[in-house]
Amino acid sequence: MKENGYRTRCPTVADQRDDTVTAAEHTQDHAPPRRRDDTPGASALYLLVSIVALLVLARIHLAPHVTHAGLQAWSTIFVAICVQALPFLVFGVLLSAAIATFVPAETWTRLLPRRAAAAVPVAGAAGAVLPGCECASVPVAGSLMARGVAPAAALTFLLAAPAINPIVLVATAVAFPRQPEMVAARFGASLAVAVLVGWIWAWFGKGAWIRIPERPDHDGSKWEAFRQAMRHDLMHAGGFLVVGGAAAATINTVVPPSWLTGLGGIGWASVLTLAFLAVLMSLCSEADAFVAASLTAFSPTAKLTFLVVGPMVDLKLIAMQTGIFGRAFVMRFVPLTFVLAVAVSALVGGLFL
Amino acid sequence: MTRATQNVVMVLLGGAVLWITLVTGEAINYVKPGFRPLLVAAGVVLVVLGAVGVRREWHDDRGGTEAGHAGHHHGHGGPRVAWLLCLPVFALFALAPPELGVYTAERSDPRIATVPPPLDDSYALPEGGPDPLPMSIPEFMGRSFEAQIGGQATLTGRRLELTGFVTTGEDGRWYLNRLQLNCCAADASTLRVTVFGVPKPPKGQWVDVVGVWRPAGTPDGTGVYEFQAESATKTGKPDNPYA
Repeated sequence: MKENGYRTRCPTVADQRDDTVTAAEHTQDHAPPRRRDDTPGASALYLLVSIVALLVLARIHLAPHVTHAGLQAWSTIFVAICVQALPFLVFGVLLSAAIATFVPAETWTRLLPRRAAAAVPVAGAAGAVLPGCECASVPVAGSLMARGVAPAAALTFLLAAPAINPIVLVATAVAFPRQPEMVAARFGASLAVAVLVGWIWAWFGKGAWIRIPERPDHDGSKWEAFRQAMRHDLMHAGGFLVVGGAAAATINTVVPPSWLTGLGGIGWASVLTLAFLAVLMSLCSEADAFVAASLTAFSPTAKLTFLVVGPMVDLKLIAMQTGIFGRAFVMRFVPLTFVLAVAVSALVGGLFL
Repeated sequence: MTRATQNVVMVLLGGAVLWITLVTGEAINYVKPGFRPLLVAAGVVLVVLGAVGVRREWHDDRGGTEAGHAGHHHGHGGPRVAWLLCLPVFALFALAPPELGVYTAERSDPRIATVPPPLDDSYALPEGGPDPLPMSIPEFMGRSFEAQIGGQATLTGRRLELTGFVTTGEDGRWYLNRLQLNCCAADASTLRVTVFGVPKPPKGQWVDVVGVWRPAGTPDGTGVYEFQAESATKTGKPDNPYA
């Protein structure tokens, strides 16, 4: 009786599932009970064993023949980006899954002002306190939205957290040892862009543009929900991280560096070059200051643009945001952020550097 | 991608990370050595998460919770893009990416100055000590840069030993190189010293070069670092190939 009532009220999940099962699975469902070996767990184990066997064979028979220097450099850089980003991704996803599962939804709505316009600067300031890298900030912002935080405020947090957190500012100070104004300019310009984007989104943004991630339903303990949330986010963000890593590795090994540096001498061109370079290189915000410092052919304003744009807009972030918030969101959010980031950096750089 | 497969991918990924950090140490080719504890922790989290998932869902895989996930373009099970997570694992084992070397060093534009890393406070070289004094290429460049912009010339009159790999320069010159990681191998920059006085060893060869600092006479420090060598001896690749 109770079960029937549940079914009539909430038929979608079960029905969709029925719709999507393939013919083969139908046959299985009606077949006699499966043997123990046929359980998903067992087939997963078979899959694992066969992949590992394949990898061992590839290592013995394929690896010694891969000697092309360019391909080797590409694969080193590709693997390096994935390996470097993975712990940040894992712990970012861990943090976001923990927020989603263990922090009561009302905490966020209590901490942040109710009006989106007022919540945006508070979220920006929160980004200055909480260490978080860009890979992590995307799922964290997603889970904030899922917990009822205004999208504009969550987006401000997404932009601010990787750009102006204490770790990044310390890294910038180390990379520009005699230029404390670079640290101040980075902080000011990044916070301004994050808050401006938040306000613009609060005033002009439409709810339909953004796909607010839903937590998968869970029946069971909080730990089980935590585990499912983590698996879900890792699979989404991780796949796109690989796309970004491959793209950055390709640019690093295929594009002649003289193309990139040849523009360094021209004022506005060098700002735009480094803005696009920041997008293409997809560096961690913890690391980008050291790269910016080594681009000596470029003006301080251009370097500032590199530091402001990089943590907010890059290939890896675009890919991850597409995975979590949808394409309609990325088509609007990315150009807005990019234009504002370049404009604010040029202004701040022109005034103070 | 079914939930069971996703769990397998997590075990695979975590296992690969533990393999390159704890078993082979290949991680040194990709990231800085200090990053290792974080990698191990992430690998353990992935393996545990995947293994718990495989165990819990041994009999029960309804295609993942995403089936009822409104608005997601991926249908049954997990996202298709998650399969890409196998790619770095495959690259790691099938291509066995080596440390970056000659290819990267030759790609970097020789006209672009590399800002030497900042020196620590202990500025003056220790009196006495070994002769020649082993010195890292970043330190050599830092001290050379300092002298060229008008600071203390701390290298004058000291025999030094630098270690790096060989690339060919213009006009029959050759360079002693070391790649420096800022964060990981993706942003490696080339630290390069022009060596005079000894014939060029084969390209890509790791060598110990003994000699003295040679002031390049460029007061603006445009990334010209020169070394007057008396000998260049072949050596093996150091444990950490990067500066």
